[in-house]
Amino acid sequence: MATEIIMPKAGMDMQEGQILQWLVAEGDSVEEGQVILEIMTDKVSMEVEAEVSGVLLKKVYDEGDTVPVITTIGYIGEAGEEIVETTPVVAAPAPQAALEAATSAPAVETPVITTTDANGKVRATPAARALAKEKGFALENIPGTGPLGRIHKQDVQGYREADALKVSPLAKAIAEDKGIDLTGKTGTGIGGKIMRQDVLDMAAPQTAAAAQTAAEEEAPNVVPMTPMRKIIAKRMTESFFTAPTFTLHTDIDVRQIKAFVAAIKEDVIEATGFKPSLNDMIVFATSRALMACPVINTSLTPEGDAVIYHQDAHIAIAVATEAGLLTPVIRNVNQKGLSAVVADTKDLATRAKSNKLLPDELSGSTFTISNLGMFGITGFNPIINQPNSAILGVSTIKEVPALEDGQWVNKEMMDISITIDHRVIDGADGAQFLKTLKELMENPYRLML
Amino acid sequence: MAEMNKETLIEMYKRMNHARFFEEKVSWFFARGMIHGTTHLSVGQEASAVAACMALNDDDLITSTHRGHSQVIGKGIDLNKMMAELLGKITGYCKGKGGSMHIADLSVGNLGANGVVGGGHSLACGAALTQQYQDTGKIVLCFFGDGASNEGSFHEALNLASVWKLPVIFYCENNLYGMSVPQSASMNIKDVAVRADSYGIPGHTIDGNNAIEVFNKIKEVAAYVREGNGPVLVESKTYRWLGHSKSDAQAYRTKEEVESWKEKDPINYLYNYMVTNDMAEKEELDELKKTCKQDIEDAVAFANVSDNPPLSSVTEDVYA
Amino acid sequence: MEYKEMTYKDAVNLAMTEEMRKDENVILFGEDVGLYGGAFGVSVGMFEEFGPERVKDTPISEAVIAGCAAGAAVTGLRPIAEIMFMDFTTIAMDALVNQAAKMRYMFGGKAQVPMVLRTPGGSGTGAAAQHSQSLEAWFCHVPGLKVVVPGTPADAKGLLKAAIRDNNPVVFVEQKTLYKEKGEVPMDDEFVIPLGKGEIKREGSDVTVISYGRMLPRVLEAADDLKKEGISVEVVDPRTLVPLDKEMIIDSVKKTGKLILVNEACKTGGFLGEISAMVSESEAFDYLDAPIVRLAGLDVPVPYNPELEAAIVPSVDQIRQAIVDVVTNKR
Repeated sequence: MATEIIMPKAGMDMQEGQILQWLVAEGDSVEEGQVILEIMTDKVSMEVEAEVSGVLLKKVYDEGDTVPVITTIGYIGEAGEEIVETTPVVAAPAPQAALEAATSAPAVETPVITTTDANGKVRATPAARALAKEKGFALENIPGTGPLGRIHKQDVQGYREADALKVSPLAKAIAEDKGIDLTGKTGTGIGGKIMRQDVLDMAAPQTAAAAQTAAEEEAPNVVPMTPMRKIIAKRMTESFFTAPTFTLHTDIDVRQIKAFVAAIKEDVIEATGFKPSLNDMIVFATSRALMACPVINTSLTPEGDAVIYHQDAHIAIAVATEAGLLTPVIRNVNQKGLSAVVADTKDLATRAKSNKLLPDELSGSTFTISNLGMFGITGFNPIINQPNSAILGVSTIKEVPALEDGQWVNKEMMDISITIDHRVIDGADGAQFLKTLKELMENPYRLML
Repeated sequence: MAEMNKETLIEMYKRMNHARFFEEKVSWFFARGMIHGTTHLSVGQEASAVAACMALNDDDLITSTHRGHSQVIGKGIDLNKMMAELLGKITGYCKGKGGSMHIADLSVGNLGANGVVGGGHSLACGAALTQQYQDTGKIVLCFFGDGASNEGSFHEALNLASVWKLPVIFYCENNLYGMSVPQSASMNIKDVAVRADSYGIPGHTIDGNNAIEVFNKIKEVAAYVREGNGPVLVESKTYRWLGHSKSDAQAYRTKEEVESWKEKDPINYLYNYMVTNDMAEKEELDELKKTCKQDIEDAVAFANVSDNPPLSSVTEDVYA
Repeated sequence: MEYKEMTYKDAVNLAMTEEMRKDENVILFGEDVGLYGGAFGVSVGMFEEFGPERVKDTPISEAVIAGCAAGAAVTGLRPIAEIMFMDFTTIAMDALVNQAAKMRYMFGGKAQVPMVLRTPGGSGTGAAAQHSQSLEAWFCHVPGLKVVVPGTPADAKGLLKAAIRDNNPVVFVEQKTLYKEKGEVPMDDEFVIPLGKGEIKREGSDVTVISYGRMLPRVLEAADDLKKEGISVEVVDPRTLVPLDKEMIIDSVKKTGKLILVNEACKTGGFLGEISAMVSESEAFDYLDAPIVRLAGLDVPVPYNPELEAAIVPSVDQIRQAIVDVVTNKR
């Protein structure tokens, strides 16, 4: 019997993937472990290997197609074998009989984590129910850690509403009526809330496709967004429309720090094999400034009623790639020495450009730095990379003549800006942070303290 | 201590009539659905109960039974409060919480009627222990029936009272039936009193429908008991004219048997005794009977105008 | 306050002795309580001090022992009646359930029955099925009775004194296997523990364990072990089952969110179920963060063989494991 090739789920957030390239043709022989196609997940491209040896019998989807995860995209089998269409493997509740078999089998101790029971009732303790009610959480969205997935109070306490399925009551009713599983779906409402129209669109994909075709005829230059572009669009929109922000600018005299970089260059190369850059110094100094100004290194809770103060600085650096903007995260920068920061930054940036980042390397930041200095940008207002509370914008260096000790000299000034989420951070806090960073950069010996 | 004189006999006659009219009224109420639950009537047993109580001192104690109306009236009671209790009123002896089977008046030494057959035996021992321990000079008369003498508690109580020499008269009103079962089918002896031998105590059998005999015998044994000689068992043979309770069709006995006992009406016996012995004029006794009947009517009137207990009282008096 | 280390049994004796010295209406009777000093030696020395009028041997007649106590109580004494084994209270049931418990109510509040029925319960002595039961739930089901089960010598003293002074019939359940356990006991003859007031034997925050009587020392041992492992167990001893210190229990469950109940009596129809239901009905419900767990005796008659006998009641290990499981959300 033929074996399905599926669109793998390659990350927590991944809902769909795009087939970039089939590396084998129908009828070709493949070996188990052989790379047979490349896909694009949320933000990275991945290779998919054959799980069995045989012949690629059929490609169900072609290059450029975007399909939900776990969808069958092809078959491997014996030459000439007829493909029996199997029910697509989807994440559905285990059928009752199977569940009973699993739970009654004496030797099998595998916990069945379902949270809801066979009748759709949520297993939760009274305390968990009370807390969820107080916080306005829907219990069915909260993962339970107790026996059979029972939700305890701590599960509710640790739950972030952002992880929940957001759906309007009407959309939910329509989805139930039409038998549409909304699990994992997002919509066009605020914060990705699934609205009525979203469900109707899901219910009638052909209608949507027809509309798209019509649009293409009128405007031939319309290009479908890549999955990555869609995510960028969604996140930027969310950030822009949910956070009341404003941006502060200051100029930093970088002469000292450039001299510093030059002085330690050989040592760093010897330690890491990489040349230190001014950008590395900015990342390094930022981590120290964040520790000095904890309110900047924060996230707002999903409920918006509490602020999470992060103990460590996980700094995302915005990297422009051909496919779009990537933000790989350097972890625990505050705990790292300069060499480690240099090495990590280079490694991540290199792999970002060659699309070799792992999904987990793209999430979990507490602060972000965007550097457009290489494009000669003299100043800009970046958009926050949520759930961060702030983002640093780094611009190009300008030579500015100035009087110093009675002599005319060229100061090398660089604009840096910080966009801050005013829900969490006040102007004075942001200003204090910039002041701290400026002092560190202009007096690099202080970085040793 | 009451003496066998006119005054005592008049009072005895009065209480026996009160008991008779009281129970006739209760029967009348019951037939009209005005009495909640059931009630056990002692019509025909008035001499056995009243004369026994009259032979005691006022401050002596009794334990009563489910068939206790004549017993508690004999000990001396407020008829108004008793009628009110049967009608479940707040003015009743037990504030409407006890009813017919639980009339108690500790102020006159009535430790309460008992719904459990044989339930009073051991309580009487305890009450007698108190009198003995505190040296009060009081004694306890424990009412029970022939049926109760087959209960285990009868044995335990008579044995304990005997070895502890408790001042208690175990007074068995043998009305020949334990509900429907005749005495002959529940014990292989004719006289319950012979059981006294097992405990090494005196036993006597008397005619319970003869108020004079009852009075004299109880007076005699009360003195014996009061002197610290230990308990005595007295069996008073009598007969209940009515069924065991109001739900009894009395298939177990003949009308002739009932009629033959009605011939031995204890109230008529006392009436004739007093008239024959020139202790009272007929007119006096007839007038007294009328008064007694009126007393019961007055008690009914009192009970009727009394309030039901408030619902809030339902949780009161569970604990002291 | 002056304390003295003494056994549970001696604490019971001390309570009776002090009250009898204080109030001459207090008397003791039962089977072999006199010169013999009681089947378990609880009343040793009392016959000598108070004489046969006040410390009385009875025939082997449990029904009349209980009934006589009720009759004496309603007429002015404060009798203490001993039933040699709790199993034999079944013979005394009419006197307790139909007479003593009911008199006050059915006589419209005009009577009071200040008696104490002392009786030792529990297994662990090899006495098998008819001398080892824990029947306290039977009495808890009868309005009008109070039910006390002390778990320490000090509690035995303070509670028995309160029971003797109480104007209601009190079933005072002693614990055979605790009789020889020692503890510090206040020597003040006014040391009285009010009935209906529990005690938090250990303060804790992770789970509430309610226990009484023979199982209490086991629970305390488990709690002390687990404290070293960082599990904070609150041990609540209600001490009297009727009246029950509901407030203390509810407050504790609200604090910890988790509840384990431990006793020796058979699980089915036992008093633990009553506490569990009471908590579920209370405001503590919304604080519950785990199923309420009962550790109780197996639903079997008490067997003779020592290993079998030990196996039917919760062990320290089982209690410890249950606490760990509940605290870590594994049950």
